[in-house]
Amino acid sequence: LTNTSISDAQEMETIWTILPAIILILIALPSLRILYLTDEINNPSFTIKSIGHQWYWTYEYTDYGGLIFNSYMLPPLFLEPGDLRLLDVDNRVVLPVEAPVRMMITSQDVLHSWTVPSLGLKTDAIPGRLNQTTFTATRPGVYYGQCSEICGANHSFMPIVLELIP
Amino acid sequence: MLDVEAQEPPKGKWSTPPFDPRFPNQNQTRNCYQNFLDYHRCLKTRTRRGKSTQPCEYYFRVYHSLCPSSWVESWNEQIKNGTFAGKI
Repeated sequence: LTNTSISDAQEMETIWTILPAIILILIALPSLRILYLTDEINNPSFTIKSIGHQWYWTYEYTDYGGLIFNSYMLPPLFLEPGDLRLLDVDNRVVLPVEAPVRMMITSQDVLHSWTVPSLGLKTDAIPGRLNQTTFTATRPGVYYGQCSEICGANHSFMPIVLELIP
Repeated sequence: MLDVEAQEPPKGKWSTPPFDPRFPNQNQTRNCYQNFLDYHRCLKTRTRRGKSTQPCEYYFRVYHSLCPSSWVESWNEQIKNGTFAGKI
Protein backbone atom coordinates (compact mmCIF):
# COMPACT_ATOMS: atom_id res chain seq x y z
CA LEU A 1 0.00 0.00 0.00
CA THR A 2 1.51 3.24 -1.15
CA ASN A 3 0.17 6.73 -0.76
CA THR A 4 -0.73 7.07 -4.44
CA SER A 5 -2.99 4.01 -4.38
CA ILE A 6 -4.90 4.92 -1.28
CA SER A 7 -5.56 8.60 -1.88
CA ASP A 8 -7.18 10.79 -4.53
CA ALA A 9 -9.90 8.35 -5.64
CA GLN A 10 -12.44 10.96 -6.69
CA GLU A 11 -14.51 8.66 -8.92
CA MET A 12 -14.87 5.99 -6.25
CA GLU A 13 -15.80 8.55 -3.62
CA THR A 14 -18.46 10.01 -5.90
CA ILE A 15 -19.95 6.60 -6.67
CA TRP A 16 -20.11 5.44 -3.11
CA THR A 17 -21.79 8.64 -2.03
CA ILE A 18 -24.38 8.93 -4.81
CA LEU A 19 -25.32 5.25 -5.01
CA PRO A 20 -26.29 4.81 -1.33
CA ALA A 21 -28.23 8.06 -1.50
CA ILE A 22 -30.23 6.71 -4.44
CA ILE A 23 -30.79 3.41 -2.64
CA LEU A 24 -32.09 5.24 0.44
CA ILE A 25 -34.47 7.30 -1.65
CA LEU A 26 -35.76 4.13 -3.32
CA ILE A 27 -36.45 2.69 0.13
CA ALA A 28 -37.97 5.86 1.59
CA LEU A 29 -40.51 6.68 -1.10
CA PRO A 30 -42.53 3.42 -0.93
CA SER A 31 -42.19 3.51 2.84
CA LEU A 32 -43.76 6.95 2.97
CA ARG A 33 -46.55 5.76 0.66
CA ILE A 34 -47.24 2.80 2.94
CA LEU A 35 -47.28 5.10 5.96
CA TYR A 36 -50.17 7.04 4.48
CA LEU A 37 -51.91 3.91 3.21
CA THR A 38 -52.00 2.48 6.73
CA ASP A 39 -54.10 5.48 7.80
CA GLU A 40 -57.20 3.76 6.51
CA ILE A 41 -60.71 5.10 6.17
CA ASN A 42 -62.70 3.02 8.58
CA ASN A 43 -66.12 4.71 9.01
CA PRO A 44 -66.13 4.97 12.78
CA SER A 45 -69.14 4.10 14.90
CA PHE A 46 -68.45 6.92 17.30
CA THR A 47 -66.01 9.64 18.23
CA ILE A 48 -64.35 10.31 21.56
CA LYS A 49 -62.23 13.30 22.37
CA SER A 50 -59.22 13.03 24.63
CA ILE A 51 -57.75 16.24 25.99
CA GLY A 52 -54.44 16.21 27.81
CA HIS A 53 -53.85 18.42 30.82
CA GLN A 54 -51.15 18.71 33.41
CA TRP A 55 -51.55 16.02 34.70
CA TYR A 56 -54.72 14.16 33.77
CA TRP A 57 -56.85 13.36 30.76
CA THR A 58 -60.34 14.63 29.97
CA TYR A 59 -62.60 12.48 27.83
CA GLU A 60 -65.60 13.80 25.96
CA TYR A 61 -68.31 11.61 24.53
CA THR A 62 -70.32 14.21 22.63
CA ASP A 63 -71.88 12.25 19.79
CA TYR A 64 -75.09 11.73 21.70
CA GLY A 65 -75.00 14.23 24.52
CA GLY A 66 -72.51 15.85 26.80
CA LEU A 67 -70.66 13.18 28.75
CA ILE A 68 -67.40 14.77 29.84
CA PHE A 69 -65.20 13.49 32.64
CA ASN A 70 -61.66 13.66 33.94
CA SER A 71 -59.41 10.67 34.41
CA TYR A 72 -56.86 10.94 37.21
CA MET A 73 -54.36 8.35 38.27
CA LEU A 74 -55.36 6.59 41.48
CA PRO A 75 -52.99 7.75 44.22
CA PRO A 76 -51.23 4.86 45.99
CA LEU A 77 -53.26 5.42 49.15
CA PHE A 78 -56.50 4.88 47.22
CA LEU A 79 -55.53 1.63 45.53
CA GLU A 80 -57.64 -1.45 46.19
CA PRO A 81 -56.01 -4.89 46.33
CA GLY A 82 -55.46 -5.97 42.75
CA ASP A 83 -55.16 -2.43 41.37
CA LEU A 84 -52.05 -1.55 39.45
CA ARG A 85 -49.85 1.16 40.92
CA LEU A 86 -49.24 4.12 38.58
CA LEU A 87 -51.60 2.63 36.01
CA ASP A 88 -55.13 2.52 37.36
CA VAL A 89 -57.36 5.58 37.14
CA ASP A 90 -60.55 6.73 38.77
CA ASN A 91 -62.58 6.94 35.55
CA ARG A 92 -61.80 4.61 32.69
CA VAL A 93 -62.61 5.11 29.03
CA VAL A 94 -65.34 2.56 28.40
CA LEU A 95 -65.73 1.36 24.85
CA PRO A 96 -67.49 -1.49 23.05
CA VAL A 97 -65.46 -4.15 21.25
CA GLU A 98 -65.71 -4.70 17.50
CA ALA A 99 -66.73 -1.05 16.98
CA PRO A 100 -64.49 1.28 14.97
CA VAL A 101 -63.65 4.17 17.25
CA ARG A 102 -62.32 7.56 16.27
CA MET A 103 -60.21 9.25 18.95
CA MET A 104 -59.61 12.98 18.62
CA ILE A 105 -56.63 13.96 20.71
CA THR A 106 -55.46 17.37 21.75
CA SER A 107 -54.00 19.18 24.69
CA GLN A 108 -55.06 22.10 26.79
CA ASP A 109 -51.59 23.14 27.87
CA VAL A 110 -48.32 21.42 26.93
CA LEU A 111 -47.42 18.46 24.75
CA HIS A 112 -48.67 15.08 25.89
CA SER A 113 -49.06 11.79 24.08
CA TRP A 114 -51.98 9.41 24.32
CA THR A 115 -50.71 5.86 24.20
CA VAL A 116 -52.14 2.37 24.48
CA PRO A 117 -49.33 0.04 23.42
CA SER A 118 -51.39 -3.15 23.43
CA LEU A 119 -53.67 -1.65 20.79
CA GLY A 120 -50.80 -0.18 18.80
CA LEU A 121 -51.85 3.39 19.56
CA LYS A 122 -49.69 6.41 20.12
CA THR A 123 -50.81 9.87 19.15
CA ASP A 124 -49.35 13.16 20.28
CA ALA A 125 -51.59 15.62 22.07
CA ILE A 126 -50.60 19.02 20.75
CA PRO A 127 -52.18 22.27 21.94
CA GLY A 128 -54.09 23.95 19.14
CA ARG A 129 -54.14 20.84 16.97
CA LEU A 130 -56.62 18.00 16.76
CA ASN A 131 -55.06 14.67 15.92
CA GLN A 132 -57.15 11.75 14.88
CA THR A 133 -56.48 8.10 15.44
CA THR A 134 -58.83 5.23 14.73
CA PHE A 135 -58.92 1.71 16.02
CA THR A 136 -61.14 -1.32 16.39
CA ALA A 137 -60.54 -3.47 19.43
CA THR A 138 -61.41 -7.11 18.98
CA ARG A 139 -60.92 -8.44 22.51
CA PRO A 140 -62.69 -7.29 25.67
CA GLY A 141 -60.55 -6.36 28.61
CA VAL A 142 -58.69 -3.54 30.27
CA TYR A 143 -55.91 -1.85 28.34
CA TYR A 144 -53.34 0.41 29.95
CA GLY A 145 -51.12 3.13 28.62
CA GLN A 146 -49.08 6.03 29.90
CA CYS A 147 -48.46 9.56 28.75
CA SER A 148 -45.62 9.42 26.25
CA GLU A 149 -44.45 12.98 25.91
CA ILE A 150 -42.63 14.73 28.72
CA CYS A 151 -45.05 17.22 30.18
CA GLY A 152 -43.78 18.28 33.56
CA ALA A 153 -43.42 16.99 37.08
CA ASN A 154 -46.20 14.40 36.96
CA HIS A 155 -45.68 13.20 33.43
CA SER A 156 -45.31 9.64 34.73
CA PHE A 157 -48.53 9.88 36.70
CA MET A 158 -51.24 10.44 34.11
CA PRO A 159 -52.05 7.00 32.72
CA ILE A 160 -54.68 5.98 30.23
CA VAL A 161 -57.04 3.08 30.83
CA LEU A 162 -59.45 1.68 28.27
CA GLU A 163 -62.12 -0.76 29.33
CA LEU A 164 -63.41 -2.68 26.35
CA ILE A 165 -66.72 -4.37 26.98
CA PRO A 166 -68.49 -6.90 24.76
CA MET B 1 -78.87 37.43 14.76
CA LEU B 2 -76.70 34.45 15.55
CA ASP B 3 -78.03 32.66 18.56
CA VAL B 4 -74.92 31.24 20.12
CA GLU B 5 -76.79 30.28 23.27
CA ALA B 6 -78.93 27.62 21.58
CA GLN B 7 -76.11 25.15 21.11
CA GLU B 8 -77.66 22.00 22.52
CA PRO B 9 -77.46 19.05 20.12
CA PRO B 10 -80.76 18.47 18.33
CA LYS B 11 -82.55 15.25 19.09
CA GLY B 12 -82.80 12.53 16.51
CA LYS B 13 -80.78 9.67 15.04
CA TRP B 14 -77.13 10.54 14.67
CA SER B 15 -74.12 8.30 14.68
CA THR B 16 -70.86 10.16 14.27
CA PRO B 17 -69.34 12.45 11.64
CA PRO B 18 -68.54 10.47 8.50
CA PHE B 19 -65.21 10.47 6.75
CA ASP B 20 -64.64 13.84 5.08
CA PRO B 21 -62.37 13.52 2.04
CA ARG B 22 -61.42 17.20 2.37
CA PHE B 23 -59.54 16.24 5.52
CA PRO B 24 -58.17 12.76 4.92
CA ASN B 25 -55.17 12.84 7.24
CA GLN B 26 -54.39 12.80 10.90
CA ASN B 27 -54.69 16.53 11.45
CA GLN B 28 -58.40 17.19 11.88
CA THR B 29 -58.09 20.72 13.27
CA ARG B 30 -59.42 22.28 10.12
CA ASN B 31 -62.27 19.77 9.91
CA CYS B 32 -63.54 20.91 13.31
CA TYR B 33 -63.02 24.59 12.57
CA GLN B 34 -64.52 24.48 9.10
CA ASN B 35 -67.71 22.84 10.31
CA PHE B 36 -67.98 25.39 13.08
CA LEU B 37 -67.69 28.19 10.53
CA ASP B 38 -70.07 26.47 8.15
CA TYR B 39 -72.67 26.11 10.88
CA HIS B 40 -72.60 29.77 11.74
CA ARG B 41 -72.53 30.86 8.12
CA CYS B 42 -75.48 28.60 7.38
CA LEU B 43 -77.34 29.96 10.36
CA LYS B 44 -76.65 33.56 9.36
CA THR B 45 -77.59 33.09 5.73
CA ARG B 46 -80.78 31.15 6.32
CA THR B 47 -81.90 33.43 9.12
CA ARG B 48 -81.35 36.44 6.90
CA ARG B 49 -83.48 34.84 4.21
CA GLY B 50 -86.20 33.86 6.65
CA LYS B 51 -85.73 30.14 6.04
CA SER B 52 -85.63 27.24 8.44
CA THR B 53 -82.21 26.60 9.98
CA GLN B 54 -82.80 22.87 10.22
CA PRO B 55 -80.32 22.03 7.39
CA CYS B 56 -77.60 23.69 9.45
CA GLU B 57 -78.02 21.00 12.06
CA TYR B 58 -75.58 18.71 10.21
CA TYR B 59 -72.70 21.15 10.63
CA PHE B 60 -73.60 21.59 14.26
CA ARG B 61 -73.55 17.84 14.85
CA VAL B 62 -70.20 17.46 13.15
CA TYR B 63 -68.40 20.20 15.02
CA HIS B 64 -70.09 19.18 18.26
CA SER B 65 -68.67 15.69 17.83
CA LEU B 66 -65.23 16.70 16.67
CA CYS B 67 -64.31 19.89 18.45
CA PRO B 68 -63.18 19.96 22.07
CA SER B 69 -65.79 21.71 24.16
CA SER B 70 -63.24 24.21 25.45
CA TRP B 71 -62.52 25.35 21.89
CA VAL B 72 -66.23 25.74 21.17
CA GLU B 73 -66.82 27.69 24.37
CA SER B 74 -63.91 29.96 23.58
CA TRP B 75 -65.11 30.61 20.03
CA ASN B 76 -68.67 31.22 21.19
CA GLU B 77 -67.39 33.71 23.72
CA GLN B 78 -65.43 35.46 21.00
CA ILE B 79 -68.48 35.58 18.75
CA LYS B 80 -70.50 37.07 21.57
CA ASN B 81 -67.81 39.68 22.20
CA GLY B 82 -67.34 40.40 18.52
CA THR B 83 -63.71 39.28 18.58
CA PHE B 84 -64.00 36.05 16.63
CA ALA B 85 -61.31 35.99 13.96
CA GLY B 86 -63.14 33.75 11.50
CA LYS B 87 -65.26 35.06 8.67
CA ILE B 88 -68.93 34.32 9.32
